[in-house]
Amino acid sequence: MQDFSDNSDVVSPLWISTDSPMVDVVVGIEAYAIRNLENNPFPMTLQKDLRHEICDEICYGIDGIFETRDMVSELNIMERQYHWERFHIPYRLVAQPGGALLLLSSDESLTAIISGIDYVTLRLYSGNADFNWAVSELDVVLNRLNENHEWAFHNRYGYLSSNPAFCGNGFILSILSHLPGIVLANRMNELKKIINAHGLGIGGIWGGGIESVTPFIRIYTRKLIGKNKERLQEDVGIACNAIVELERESRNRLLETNELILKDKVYRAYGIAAYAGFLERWEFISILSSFRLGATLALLPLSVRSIDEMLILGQQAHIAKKYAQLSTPIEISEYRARFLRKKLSIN
Amino acid sequence: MAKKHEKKCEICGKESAEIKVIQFIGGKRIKLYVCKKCSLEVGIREQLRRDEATFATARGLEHACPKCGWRLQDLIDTGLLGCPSCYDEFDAEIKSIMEHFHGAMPDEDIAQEDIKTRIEILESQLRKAIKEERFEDAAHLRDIITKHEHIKELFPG
Repeated sequence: MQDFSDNSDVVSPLWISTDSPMVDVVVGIEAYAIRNLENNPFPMTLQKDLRHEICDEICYGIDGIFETRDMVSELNIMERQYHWERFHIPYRLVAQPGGALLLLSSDESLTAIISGIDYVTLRLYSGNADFNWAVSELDVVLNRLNENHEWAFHNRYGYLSSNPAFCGNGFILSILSHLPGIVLANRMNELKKIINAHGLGIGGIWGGGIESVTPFIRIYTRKLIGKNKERLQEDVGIACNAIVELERESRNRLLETNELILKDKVYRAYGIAAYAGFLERWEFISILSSFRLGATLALLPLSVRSIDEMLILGQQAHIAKKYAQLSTPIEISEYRARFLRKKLSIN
Repeated sequence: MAKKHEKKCEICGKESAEIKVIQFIGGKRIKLYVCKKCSLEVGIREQLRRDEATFATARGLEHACPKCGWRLQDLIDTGLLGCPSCYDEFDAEIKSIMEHFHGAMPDEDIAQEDIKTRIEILESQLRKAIKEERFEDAAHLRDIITKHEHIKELFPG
């Protein structure tokens, strides 16, 4: 069997290793802020050179906050995918980098995309479900930008985005959650009731629609117009507590009434992980979901955060970055299976 | 590719309906089956991306924003607008999209059912906060419940 040399530089983002009281259900949170320059066409309509020029103008005053700065178009496709897997950029920029600039803080919890589909997109990630803190951190960066720029604002639609779905108070808050109890106990209708009542939406953890094979779910603020940011924080905070409670209650109920089914799910995943020669991405994520459930119910001797780290490190571009000689899907799937066995200390 | 339905076009009544469109008219979601000719002539287009939001326009898809030149066709192709002025220029066309994404505006005009659900959730969290002696959280939750009950009174079902 091939032996691969190990590039140990590839580690998971620091924020995903943070402990928190809701870590059994909440993988992390994302706070997102969007701004566009007043009286300017949105970036996607501009030529690449002009977008580059505007990047420097916008970055004035905030460069010191970030450690790295990359033109997304100068990254190759695997590097762009790597950033997507770490939640730094949306998938649209993997496919069409255009004239966007990516700025990253030293711990990767704060990113800025300048001249993407909007002029300024700030994202903050935290392992702790504290939306008030997250929004106040974004406000620090926004206040610096506010000193030099005027933003496009509409009386009816609020802060404007090139995407009509993102208009409003200029913030989008997301809960990156793990909800296997709700899924297994068939309580999605109760989840949807909470989500609908608070103007939230539901999707895949990396964006896009729900990836129905796994219970890793992103719940985000959808109704943004007519709500100020305090109201948004309040709504998502209340909904987050309700969702965590629903998930914990579902898990406990399953443990009391369907213990065999629950254990089968967890131990079956362990069996596959122990013997699989190849693991494609979706199966890998599904197995980690079962492991995460098992860890929170003390059925497996694993920490939840070590599983979250594996979730990132087992993605395609992360594997390709760690082992440059792997290039085909089969090689990557084979490595993924070996990676998981190594993490579980199975020979 | 448009599916061919067996029914006749609901606009001209003559040709076979080939395209299903969903329109938001008067705040209601209405399904229409139309032929290709009628869909072009009255500016109706198929579902906008997978969110099934679409819009009706009498001005045609080549109509462009005078400020940036972005056309309605560009909106369909990309899901994006071209400049801040597009929001006013295409106000009639994007109104239904905005309602689809953001729901009724202003926010207080929310369904009674949603207010009831929110109050139930808040009361459950209030009981938990009191039980765990988190009195500051409890006071804050009580304030939010009062606000919601006030909204409920203002907009009875």
